[in-house]
This record gives sequence, structure tokens and C-alpha cells, in this order.
Amino acid sequence: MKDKKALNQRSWYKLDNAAKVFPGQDTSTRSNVFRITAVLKETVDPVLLEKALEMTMPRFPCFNVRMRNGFFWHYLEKNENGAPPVMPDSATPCLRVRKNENKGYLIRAFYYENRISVEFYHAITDGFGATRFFMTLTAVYLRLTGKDIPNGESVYDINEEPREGEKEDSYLKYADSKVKAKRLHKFTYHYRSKKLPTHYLNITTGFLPVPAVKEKAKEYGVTVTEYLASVLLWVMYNMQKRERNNREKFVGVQIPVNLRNFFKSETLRNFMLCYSFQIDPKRGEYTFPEIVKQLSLYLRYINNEKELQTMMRGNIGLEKNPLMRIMPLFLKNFGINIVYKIAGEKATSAIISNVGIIKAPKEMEQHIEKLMIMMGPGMINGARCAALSFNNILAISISNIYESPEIQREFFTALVKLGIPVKVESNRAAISGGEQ
Amino acid sequence: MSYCVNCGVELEKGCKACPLCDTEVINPKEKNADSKPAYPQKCDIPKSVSKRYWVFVASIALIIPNIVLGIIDAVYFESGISIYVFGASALFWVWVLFPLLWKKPIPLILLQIDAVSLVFYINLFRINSEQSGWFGSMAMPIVLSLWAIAALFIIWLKKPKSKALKGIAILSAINAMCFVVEICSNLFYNGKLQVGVSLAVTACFVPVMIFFAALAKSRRLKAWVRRKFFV
Repeated sequence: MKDKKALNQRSWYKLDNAAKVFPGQDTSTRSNVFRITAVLKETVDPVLLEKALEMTMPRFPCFNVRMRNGFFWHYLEKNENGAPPVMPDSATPCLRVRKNENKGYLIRAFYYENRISVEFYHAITDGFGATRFFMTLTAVYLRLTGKDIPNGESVYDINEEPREGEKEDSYLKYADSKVKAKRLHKFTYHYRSKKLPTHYLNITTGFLPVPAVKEKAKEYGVTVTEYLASVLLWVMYNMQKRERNNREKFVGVQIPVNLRNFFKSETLRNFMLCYSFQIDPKRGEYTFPEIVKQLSLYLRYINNEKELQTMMRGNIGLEKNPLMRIMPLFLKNFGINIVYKIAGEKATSAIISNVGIIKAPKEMEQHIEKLMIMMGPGMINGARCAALSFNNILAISISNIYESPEIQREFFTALVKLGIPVKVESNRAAISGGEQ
Repeated sequence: MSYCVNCGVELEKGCKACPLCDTEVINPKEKNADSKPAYPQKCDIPKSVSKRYWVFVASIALIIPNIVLGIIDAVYFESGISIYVFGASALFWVWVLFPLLWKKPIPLILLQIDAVSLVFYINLFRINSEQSGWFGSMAMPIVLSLWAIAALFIIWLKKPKSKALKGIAILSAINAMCFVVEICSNLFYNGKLQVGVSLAVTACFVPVMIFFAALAKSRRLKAWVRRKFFV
């Protein structure tokens, strides 16, 4: 009887609408993982970090989970193993996720010198939720080292009960449209070169002063995200031109958007959608100002509640399709995997996800030197960029699976040429001479 | 702090080469800079499950239905039909799973093993059938010619060949196989050495092969074809 009660109390969640596709896309060598790293001003103590993690996990029930296979869908179940282990970092971040590793947790914590890194499986959260968890964990760690860090901004109070809204699937709540969006994107140009060995990832992070980027964006009357996406698109467009292909393909950039900016949601699970913008080089030569103008006008036209609702409706329509619902999980996974392999990344040449400004209490800011976010490996995408701003420093990380850092070089030197100073760091030296 | 003279980006303290263009960094002021790199020098790569493990699992999965079928056949049907299923399973194991056990498979050796196993499998049918003449006069010549063509292909493809040449070789091989099959079956059924269908196949293939050869030789023809038949 007691066991039955305990069983009933064991909480479980359905995967949210966006998360449902991620397990199907996984392969034995890659998963949809992203990483947040904080560079502190002093060396990290792994024992205290482990303790901080143990204290933080109960406050975030959406992260305190393991993934299980149902007959029709995957689901998340409360993980009773305490907290994920804290591990020494390696030069190959964002490795694939296995359900039976890491005590079953879908987040991984690492330390290296003065750096704390946490990797998140995208099926449990997006950039917003992950930064909230990460900043709270860092605050708890700093408190354990004797600093007086208050709650507030992106630091949650670990002593308060988790709010119901943090666990909700906001897609279901806000997909309030009678029509479904049809998304038809053309296959685009992709940078190709010699790939790194399996599991290796080439990551380069550029640090830019926020005022300089804002000023440049202001010159064109666009936002920072629009400006960075335009630079990336411009770089990919020029790379295709240099390759002198007989048939020039579309060049596209995908921009994830945080839906919490439009809908009143406090969920820490996925709540984002992706816009895709493409240009057709066959229509003639494009200049950088033209690309900036077209991209910003397109985003401003499409970036509204109604459009987002139709996009959400489209995704939910697929999830709620009776045929899809009764299809056994292994068939769903197989189908998703095949579709992703054939068309998943083909419709975009690059991705740029800007998480935005991460605010922390002033007492905490002075202990963190830098904060950065980076995406895991894709299948073919040469430019998977993730950006966030902290303490007036914009950190943009470009990840890919190619040996050559050509895209990284083109992107950061383009910014330098546009008059923005860039400081770079990379794992290239480590992975080229790393031991296995 | 150092800057890359080529890219213009600022570099990490103590960086020996620019991570974007590999240009060497020479900064006398940072010669003895005591700084840690941004990433550890150790690469932790997960161990992949060995192929031998999968071969073992697949072999077990193959054996179980065979045993069940063998028992059912022996107890209820007594027809001996399960011997063909055993043979097919063994053939599948030799053709598909056995190469996975090799670290670097040698195609020519694998081909010999595949050919021998195929002959053994066909021999199963010979043993259980009333007639056996077909084995020597039809099955063996076809298998041997298939083996010879495949071996020639493997040796010939050791050096890379153009697409047109590969196309000509494939068509020639198909045509040769047509001749072998037709001659063998005519000799077995009618006792006559005659060819008909194979000549028709040759008549179809030869113009295509000539076209391929011309395409491989003439750049002008290639350009003309591309201009006229673009899709």
C-alpha cells in the first residue's frame, strides 16, 4: 500500500511540444545539447559545486528528471538519484546524451580551473530556462564560497516552492489559432569541408563589447540579433560566391525566438520557435546593407503574436494528429530520424540564437568574469551560433564539426572589419593535439 | 594582450597561434605569460560499442528462430523444409555479419568466402531435389561467372575510374551475365548452343556504351549535352 502511494506521488511530465522531436533526432554520436559556461574570478572547488548542485536541483523539478520510453511517447520522470555528478571538463563539449549515463540526468555539470559549465539536453529546456538554472546554481556556489549573493533577476530563490507555471507546457496554453502555419523553405547552401573525428566539436567564442555592437546596429536601425544574423548571412552568402557553384542555392539563416517576450509565461521548459530567412543569390548581387534591411523588415513583419500562434498551432496539430498519436514510439523515432537526416538542417545555412541580456544581482556580477553559451554539434550546419550578453560583454560561440575554422574566421573578421573589436578563444588547439 | 596580425582579433593570454588562421603569435611581452588555456587539453571521447558485440547479438537473434523452426519442423511437419531456412540464415551470417568481424575487410578474400558459401547453399537444393544435372550445367557456371566478374571489378576499381568508364564496365558486365545465363539455360533445356535475347541486350547497350565513351573523351560533347538537356 505504501509502495503504491509512493508510486502515485512520483511525478512525471509529458515532453513539451518542441521537445518531442529531439529524442528522435538523436544518433549514437550526436544529441541536441547546448552548454552554458561561466568564467569566475577564482578557481572552482568541485566539492562545493557538487553541494551547490544538490541544493539547487529540488528547486527546479523540470531539470530533476530522467527520460523514459512510453509505448507511444517519451516522458520525463522524477530522478531519485540526488544530483548529477560534477565532472572535470574536457576539450570535447556537448557529447551525445545516453539515458543510462550520468545517473540518468539530462544535464551535466563540469568544472575546469575557474570555469563552471553545465550542459543541457534540449528536450528539457531552452536557453531561457537553462540560464535561470545556471545562474541560480552559480549563485548558490558563490554563497557556499562565502560570498553574499541575494536572489533576484535570473537568480531564483532555492528555498521557495517551484511555481506551477514553471512546469507548464506553454505551447498548449497559447497555441490559440484556427489556422496552421505552412512552412515551406527551400534547401540552402551548406559549407562543406573535412569533418573532425566523431564526437569532436570545433568551438570558437568571440567576446564583443555590447555598446559597440548596439551602436553599429543602431546605424542600420535594427536590433542586435538582426544585425548579427545579417552578418552571418552575409558571410555565408560570400562563401557560396567564392566557391563558384554552377547552381547557386538559397542562403538562409534560422533565428530562434523566445516566446516569453510575446506571451505571459514563466515556464522553464521549451517555449521558443524558429524563424527562417532566406535570400536567393540568383536574383542578383546583394550588398550588406540590403541584407540587413531585408532581414529586419522580414522579421518585423512576421514577428507578431498571431503569426507565432499559427506556427505553434501547426506544430501542435502534428502532435495531436490521431495517426501520429497511436503510432508506436519506435516508429515515431525512426520517422523523425529519417526526416531529420533528409531535410532537418538542409533548409538553413546557419543558426543564430541570441538568448539576450542575462541579468544578475550586482553582488554576483563582480564575481563572474564572462558568461557564454554554445550549441552542440549539428549534422551539416557549419555555423551554429549562440549568443548572450552579460556585464556588457556579448559572447558569441560558433560550433561546428569541421576541421577548418573558415566560417569562424570569416564571421569574426567581418565584425572586426565592421569596426567591432573581438576577442576570441577556442578549443581548437586542444582538440588538434588532444589525447583520446 | 596579443592581436592576430592576420585577422585583427584579440587573442587569449599565452595563445601560441591564432585559433582562426593559425598565424603564429609572437609577443615578447607575453613570452612567459602564466595563463591557462580556455579548454583543458584532455579529450574525453565515449567508447563506442564494439561491432563484435552487435555481431554477437544479431547472431543470437538469428539462431533463436532457427531453433524454434527446427523443433516445429521435426515434431509436426517432418518435411525438412527448415534446412533451407538454416542455409539461408548461414548465408546471411557469412555475407552480412562475418565482414563486420574484420577490422579492415579485404574485398577479394570476402568474395571467395561469399562465393563458396553460395555454392554450398545451392548444393543444399541439389541434394534434396530429384534432378541434379542443373547444378553442374547451370548453377555452377552462373555462380563462377558472377564470381569472376566481381573479382575483376574489385581489381579494376583499385584505382579510381571516371563515371563514364564505370558506366561502360557495368553495362558490359550485365551483358556478359546475360550471355552466360542464356547459353547455360539453352544448353540445359534444349541442348543447343544459341543466343537471342542477349544479342538484343547487346544491341541496346552498345550505343549507350559508345555514347559514354564519347562523353568521357570529348569536353565539347559534354558541354553540349549539359546545355541541351539541363533540367
